[in-house]
Amino acid sequence: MWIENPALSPLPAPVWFVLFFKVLGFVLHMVLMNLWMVGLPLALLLHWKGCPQGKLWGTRLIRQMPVIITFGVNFGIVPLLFIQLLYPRAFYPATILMAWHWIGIIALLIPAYYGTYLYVYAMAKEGTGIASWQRACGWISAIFFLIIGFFFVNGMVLTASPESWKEVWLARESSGATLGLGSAIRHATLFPRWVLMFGLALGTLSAWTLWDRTFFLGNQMPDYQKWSNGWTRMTAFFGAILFTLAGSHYIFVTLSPELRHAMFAMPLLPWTLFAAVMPWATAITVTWATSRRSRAFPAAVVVLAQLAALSANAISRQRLQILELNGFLPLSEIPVHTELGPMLLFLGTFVVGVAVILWMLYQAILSRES
Amino acid sequence: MDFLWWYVPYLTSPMLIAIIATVHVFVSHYAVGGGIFLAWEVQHAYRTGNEEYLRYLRRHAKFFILLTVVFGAITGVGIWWTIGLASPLATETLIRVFVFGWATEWVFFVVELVAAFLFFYLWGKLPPKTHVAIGWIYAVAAWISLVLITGITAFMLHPGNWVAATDAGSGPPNFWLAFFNPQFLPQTVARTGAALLLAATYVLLHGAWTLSEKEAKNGLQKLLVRRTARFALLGIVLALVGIVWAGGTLPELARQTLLRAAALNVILGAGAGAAGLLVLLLAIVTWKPQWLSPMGAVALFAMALGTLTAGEFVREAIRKPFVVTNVILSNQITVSQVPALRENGLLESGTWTKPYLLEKYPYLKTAEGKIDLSRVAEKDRDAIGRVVFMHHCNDCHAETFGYSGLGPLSKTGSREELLQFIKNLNSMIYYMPPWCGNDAEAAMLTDYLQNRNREGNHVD
Repeated sequence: MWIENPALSPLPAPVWFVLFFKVLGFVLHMVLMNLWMVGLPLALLLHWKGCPQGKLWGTRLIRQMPVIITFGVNFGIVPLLFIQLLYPRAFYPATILMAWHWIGIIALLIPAYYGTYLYVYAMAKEGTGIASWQRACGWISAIFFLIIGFFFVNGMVLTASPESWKEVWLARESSGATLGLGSAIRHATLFPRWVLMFGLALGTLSAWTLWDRTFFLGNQMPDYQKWSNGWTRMTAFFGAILFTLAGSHYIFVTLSPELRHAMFAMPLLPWTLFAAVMPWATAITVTWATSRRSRAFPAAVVVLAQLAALSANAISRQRLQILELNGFLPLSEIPVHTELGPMLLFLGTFVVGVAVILWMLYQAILSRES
Repeated sequence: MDFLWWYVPYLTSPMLIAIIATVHVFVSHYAVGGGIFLAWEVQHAYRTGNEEYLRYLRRHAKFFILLTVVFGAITGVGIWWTIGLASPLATETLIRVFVFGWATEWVFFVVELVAAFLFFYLWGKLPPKTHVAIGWIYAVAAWISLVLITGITAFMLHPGNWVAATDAGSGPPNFWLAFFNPQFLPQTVARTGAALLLAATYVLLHGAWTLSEKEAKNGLQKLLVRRTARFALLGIVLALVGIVWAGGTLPELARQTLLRAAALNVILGAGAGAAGLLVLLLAIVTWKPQWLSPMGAVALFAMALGTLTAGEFVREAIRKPFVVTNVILSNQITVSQVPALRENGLLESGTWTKPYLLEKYPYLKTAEGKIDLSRVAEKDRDAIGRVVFMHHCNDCHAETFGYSGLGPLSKTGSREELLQFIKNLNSMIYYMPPWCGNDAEAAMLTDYLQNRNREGNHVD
C-alpha cells in the first residue's frame, strides 16, 4: 500500500459478534431501503398514471412510506456503527474523500422525508386531488432517495478500495487536505453494485406486495388480487434478471481475478452460490404463492425467501469486504479485549426492547380487531 | 495526523459539527421533554375526562412527531456524519470505548419510534390505559437515550480516572469507568431540566399559534399555559442545579478557561439573564394566562433556545484545546503523540502528509525514505508551510478570514515573535494545543503565515 498500515486498536467485542450485528442491521435496513429505492418511484408512477388497481397499490405503499423511511433510516445506524468499529481506518478516509457528497446524504434526506410526508397528506385529503407542486414534491423525494443510494454505494466502494484513494485524493486537494469532492465514479464496481441493489429491491417490493395484500388488505378485492398476482411475478422476475446481470458483470468483469477466485473457492463458494440463486428462489416462490388458493402461508414463504436472499447478499458482501480490505486492515490481526459488561447491557436491552416492541404491536393488533 | 484532513474554506470543517449539533439539540431536547409532557398531560386529560384538552394534545402530538421523528432523528444521524468527517480520530476513540453505549441507545431509539407512531396513529383507538402506557414507554426510552448520550458528551469534557486507568486510551476501552465520569450526573440533571424547559416553550409556542378563539375562551388556554409553565419552572430548577453541579466538577483547565475568558463570562451571563427573564415571564403568564400572545410565546421560545445555546457553547468552548480532555487535541493529535511529533516532525509522522510530500516534492526523500526538510527549496517553503497549517491549525482557524481566521490573528509582531509564539502555543495561550511539529516546520509555518498576510500572495 502507498500509505502505511495503521496500528489496530483493540476491539471491545469478538469480531464475529460485531460482524453478526453489522450484517443483521444491514439486512433490516435493506428490507425497508429497498421499498423507498424502487418502491417510491413506481408507486408515484402508478398512483399518477396507473390503472385503478395500480393506483391502489401505489396509494398503499406511499401511505406506509413515512414509517418505512423512519425505520429504514434507523436500522441503517447499526451497520454504520459497527463498520466504524471494525474499519475506521478505511471508512473515515473513504467518506472524507467524498465529504460533501457524504454530508449531502443528510441534506437530501431531510427534504426527501418531508416531501414524502407532504405527498401522503395530500393523498389523505379526499376529493381535493393532488396539486402539481405536491406531485413534484413526491418525485423530488424519489429522486433524492436514488441520489442518496448512489452516494452510499460510492462510500462503500471507496471504503473497500484503499488502493484507489490516492488518485481520488490528489485529483482534488489543497496542500494535502482533501476538498471532499471525490467519488468512486471511475471505479469499475460502482455501477454494477448500484444496479445489483435495484434487482434485490424489486424482489423486496414483490414480497411486500404479497405481504400487504394478505395481512393488511385481507385478500378482499378480487380485481386487486388478480392485478397484484401479475405485478408481483413481474417485479420478482425482473428483479432476479437484473440482479443476475449486474451481479455477473460485477463478479466476472469488474472484480480482480484474486477476489473472483476467492469467491468461487471454499469457504466462500456456498455463500456466492446462495446469494446468486436466492433472488430466483424468491421469483419461483412468488409464482407458486400467486397460484395458490390459500394465502397466508405462501405469502409468509415468499417473505422468508426474500429475507434469505437479502441475508445471503449481505453475508457474501461482508465476506468480500473482509477480503478486499485484508491487505490493508486484516481483521484476524485486530486485538480483542472483550468487555462483557457493556456487551451484556446491549444484549439485555436488545431482548427487553424487542419484548416491549412486541407488546406494543400486540396492543395495536388488539385495537385493530376491536 | 492519522487521518486525511477535510479543508472547508472560511468555515473550517469542525464548524459543520457545531452547526448541525446546535440545530439538533433544539429538537432532541424537545423529543425528550415533549415525550414526558405528552405522557403526563394525556394521563391527566384522561383522568379528568377533558376531551377538549385531549384534542389539543393530539394536534400537538402530530407536530411533535413531524419535528422530532424526521428532523430530530436525521440531524442526530447528521452529527454522526460530521464528526466522522471532521473529527475522525476522536470519533474512532469514542466508538471504541462507547460502542455498546451507542448500540444500547439505538435499541431505545427503536422503542421510541414504535411508541411514538403507535401513540399518535392509534389515538382514540387504544384503551386510555394502554395509550398512556405507550406514552410513558416513549418518555422513558427517550430519557434513557438522553442519559446514554450525555455519558459520552460528559466524558469528552472530563474523562476523569479513565485517562490514567487506560493509559490515555491505549489499553482496554473500560466502558464503565468512561461512562460514569465526574460530569455524567450533573450534565444529566442539567440536560433533563433543559429538555423540560425547552419542551414547555415549544408547547406554549404551538398552543399560542394554534388554539382557536373558542378553545381559548373555554379555558383551554388557561389550563395549557398553567400546566406547561410548571414544566418549564421545574426544568429551570433542574437545569440550574445541574449547571452549578457541573461547574463544581470541571477539570482544572476548563475551570480556568471559564474563569479567565471574558467572552465566555458574557455568554454565560447572558444565558443566566435569559433564564431569569424566562422565570419572570413564566410567573406572569401563570398568573394571567390570557396575556400570553403568539409573539410573547415566540419570545419565550427564543429565550429558551438562547439559554440552551449559551450552555452548549460554553461547554464546547471550555474543552479547548481538546476534543477529549487530556487525550485527543482538537487538531486530531493524541496527547501521547506530541513528544514524538516534536522530535520527528508532523509531516514525517503523518499518515497522509508524508506520502503527500514525497509525491509532490520527491527531492525531499532521503535514502532511508524519510523527509529531509533541510533540503526544501526556497520556492517551496510557502507551499510546505501551508501543508503544516492545514494539518496543525485548520481545525480551529480559517486560513485568512472566516472562523477565527489567521489573517488578522497573525498580522502583529516580528517574524521572531511569531516563531516563538508558534513554538510555545500552549504557554502563550492556555487553550491552544502544544506545538506538535519540529523547529523546521515551525519556521516554515511562520514564513507562510507572514507571507500570506502580504497582499496578493496566495499559494492556492
